[in-house]
Amino acid sequence: MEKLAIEYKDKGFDFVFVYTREAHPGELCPHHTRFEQKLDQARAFQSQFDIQRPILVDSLEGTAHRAYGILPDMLYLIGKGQRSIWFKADWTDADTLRIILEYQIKRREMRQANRKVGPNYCEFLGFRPRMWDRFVAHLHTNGPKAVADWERAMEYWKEHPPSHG
Amino acid sequence: MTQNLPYNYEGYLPGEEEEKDFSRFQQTLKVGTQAPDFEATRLEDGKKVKLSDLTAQSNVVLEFGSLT
Repeated sequence: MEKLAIEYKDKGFDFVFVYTREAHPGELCPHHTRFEQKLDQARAFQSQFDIQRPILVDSLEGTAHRAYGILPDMLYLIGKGQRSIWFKADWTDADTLRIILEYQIKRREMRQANRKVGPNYCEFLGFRPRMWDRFVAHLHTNGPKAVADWERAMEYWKEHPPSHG
Repeated sequence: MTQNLPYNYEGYLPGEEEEKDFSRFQQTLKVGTQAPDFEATRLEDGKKVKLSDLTAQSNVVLEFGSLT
């Protein structure tokens, strides 16, 4: 996402990261109880992943997170001006986003060439690479509790397969 | 997440409520509708920033997430 943010900055797209509640808290990265703590952990996130994009820290109660659907890794593309939602996804995938950004650039170019275009509704089922090994390795940096919670989740999903992700 | 957990839950626990969250995501905030405005704290300088301030200047890619 950092590469895309740089690549598309001069093409009319600003990237913003909204820092939310911790999805997999553990002893080393606990759930938020104070806003100052949330700011500190947002700084840790910024440092650990070398995030160059602007980070907006949501309220302790998750005002923005709730308004947009409360999922852990959502992605939206919002149009300039009227804030029209151009694209939404329940998981962030850079390859998918690149397709959408190029599509929007194409639409803009058609308008600039005075070709008539109008909106149409469409959906598609996206996919994303699963990187479980990397994810579980990261869980260990959150603390043993995060790992144990995840192992319990895997057991739960054996009986109740999730419809998502 | 499981029902009755607080927003800032202490430990991840999947359940029916998480399934509902994913289902609701598809039904709300449809494409083509106006994205809700919100205010949040910019980490860089601690200032409150509105989404509408950002979309007044540019199209915005909005990603949500956390450290964990």
